[in-house]
Order: sequence, then structure tokens, then C-alpha cells
Amino acid sequence: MNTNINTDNYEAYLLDYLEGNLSPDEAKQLKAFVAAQGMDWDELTEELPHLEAPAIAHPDKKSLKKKGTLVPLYVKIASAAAAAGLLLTVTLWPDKSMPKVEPIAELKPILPERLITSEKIEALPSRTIQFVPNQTVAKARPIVQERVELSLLAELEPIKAGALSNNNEPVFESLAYRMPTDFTYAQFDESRFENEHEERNLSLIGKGISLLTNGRHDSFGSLISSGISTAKKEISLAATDMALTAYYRADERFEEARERREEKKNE
Amino acid sequence: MDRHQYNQCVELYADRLFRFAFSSLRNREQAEDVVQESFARVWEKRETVDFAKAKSYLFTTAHHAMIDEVRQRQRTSDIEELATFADPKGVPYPDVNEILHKALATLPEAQRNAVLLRDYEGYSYQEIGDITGMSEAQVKINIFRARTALKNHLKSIDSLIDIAP
Repeated sequence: MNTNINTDNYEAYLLDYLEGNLSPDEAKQLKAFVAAQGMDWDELTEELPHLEAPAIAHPDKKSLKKKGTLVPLYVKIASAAAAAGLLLTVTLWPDKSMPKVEPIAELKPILPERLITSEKIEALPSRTIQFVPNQTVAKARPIVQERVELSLLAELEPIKAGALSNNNEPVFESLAYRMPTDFTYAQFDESRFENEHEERNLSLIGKGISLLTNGRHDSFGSLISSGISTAKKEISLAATDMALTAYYRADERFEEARERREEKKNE
Repeated sequence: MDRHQYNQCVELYADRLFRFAFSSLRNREQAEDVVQESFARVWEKRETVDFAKAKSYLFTTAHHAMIDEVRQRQRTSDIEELATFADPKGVPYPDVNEILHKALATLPEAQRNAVLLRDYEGYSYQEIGDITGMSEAQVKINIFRARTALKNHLKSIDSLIDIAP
């Protein structure tokens, strides 16, 4: 076997030899080459040192990480409890105790007219929200009624999901990244949701919206059920809340809330 | 790669990347800069960088950043200083390993980085070649030369100990 050992590459062969990766024939040729060059075989094949990795840690790993949504624990618990309660209600008394879902003719998918979410919304959305270029969802009237903590009874207008998806498949991924960057304004009470609405939030929002707009969620029960399964995947009902917040940007009160927040910041 | 996976990368690789950069550059701040830049690049490219290949991407980026750092500081005049650079607090190098790490600073950059990637991270020669842009044979040659230089350095220290009264 011709290994083509020469002065340019013999060190690579020596390393292979030292690591036991040469065949006996190759080793023989290497040894012959070294001898022909007048080099000391024993010296060249002495054991070579290896470095031991020292115990060095990055001094501030946390600073490298990207923050996600900071949802206070009590909100998470409350959300889960509210969702579980609702699911139980749906399961046990599906026809009697749930808000009546009125079919909305000619519009698919059909959304529940009213949806109970788990968080009080204080900052309300602006007039329009653009989900994708050239497709604007406008709200025609005030849409939010604040209730006691843990329950917000909100009215929803149907969204033409066809504008968001061509085949009724969830579109949250693409939707999430198409959300306008100024969505940072569509947030909850800052004292509760100290988030910056970065990408992860947008993803959550998108998923929340997909829950609301996906054609398969044609009943309140299945929506809540989906909300719970989603919550298990850390999307949580907060995502739905966020989606609602985004959706409710149509309300003037959002602007007021934003101004109030700005004023607070400037104080 | 999503945010969760990115943060996982930080958890998995930040220490290793810092160790690699610090051992090569022997400067804590510069090593931190290299790590930060590498992760920033991954975050920028997260839509195209697969989680499974993030480590390799990080080390490749860090390697390039380190080359830039070294070029910037014109380190030819700094080698002596680097060789005697005091270890910062909390960076223990025990015994022979300490001597070897100090000797690392005297090696050419290509040798130093190749041997660090091999010994610290256990990368194959082919992988080191991918990261550093060298052929597999060049990687082996650099590692052989690096190890030989380190061996000779240890020998010279042994000699000094033997000669000492």
C-alpha cells in the first residue's frame, strides 16, 4: 500500500500512529520514511501530552439568554384553575351552563360570540390590527367589559379565518412572525405582565389567535379544551388573553391606557 | 431554532465556548466578547441554524471572532505577556495542566485552537477542520506540532528542576 508519506504530511501520519490509527503496513512505511529523513523515531513517537479542560464557567450566562413572557405564578394558577373549572362545566353541563354560541351565518370558521378569558385586560388595543399585509381586522364597537379578577367577559367578532389560512390549518407560526412589531403596546397591566413582548410572546399570541380562528374550534367547549391542552405546552391561556388583547386594539381606551402608561413612566 | 432551544444552547455551550475562548485568548473580557458575539450571531440566524448544529455553528463563529480579536491586538508583541498572564480568580489550572495552559499561549493560533477543540470538546479532526477551515491533514499536523511543542516545554521545565540545586 502506498501511503504517499512526504515531508508535508508525515506529522499527520505520526499523530495517527500515536493514536493507533495506522495499519501495520502504513506504520512500517512511516517508520521507513522517518529513518530516510534521518529523524529520531523514538523521539517522534514519544507520548504526547493532552490538555485537561479547566473548570472555567462563563461569568454571566444569564445575560446571554433571551427573555420570554413573564407571567406571574398566581396568574398561571388562576388561569389553569379557571380553565379547568370551565372545562368541567362544559363536560358536565354542556348545554345548560355555557354561554350560548350563536352560529354566524356565512362566516367560517364560527367563533364564539363571547369568551371568558382568565385575565383582566387593562390596556386595550388600538383601532386595527393587521395580521398579514393588506388584511385588516377592524372592530366596530367597544368590545371589552371588565369584570372581577379572573374573568373577563368579552365579545368577539368573527374573523374570517380564510384571510389567515387557506385550508383551515393553524397558521400561528407564520402569523406569529407577521405580527406588527408595535404589538408591544398591546399588553396587559404592566404590574402583572412584566413582559416585553418579544418573539416568544408573539408566538404565544399567534397560537392564541389560531385557537380563536381555527375552523375546528367551532364550539366553546372545544375552544376551552384546546386552551387547556395548549396550556400544558406552556402556551397557557395567557396566549388567548394576549390574542384577545391584540384583537382589541380597536378600542380607543387602548390609546388612553398607553398614554397613562407613558405618563407614569415620565413621572 | 426557537427561543427555548436558543436558551438551551446557552445553558449547554456558554461555559464551553467561554473556556475555549479564554484558553486561547487568555483575556477574560475578550473571551466574554467572543462568546457574546457568537451567541448574538446564532440568535440572528436562528431561523436557519438548526438546534442540532448550533454547537458547531457557535464554535465556528467563536473561532472567527477570536482570529479577529487576535489580529486586532497585534499580539506578536504580546506573546511574552500572555505566557505569563496571571490566571484570573476562579480559574484553577492544576499542576502540569497549569504549565501546559500557560505554554499554550506561546503556540501559533492555529495549533492552539486545534488542540483546544480536540482536547476540550473532543471534536474529530474533520469537525475541527470544518470549524477552522483547515483540511483534516492540516488539523492533524497542527495538533501534532502543538503537542510536540507542549511536550518539549514540559521537558525543558523538567530539565530546569533537575539542574536546580
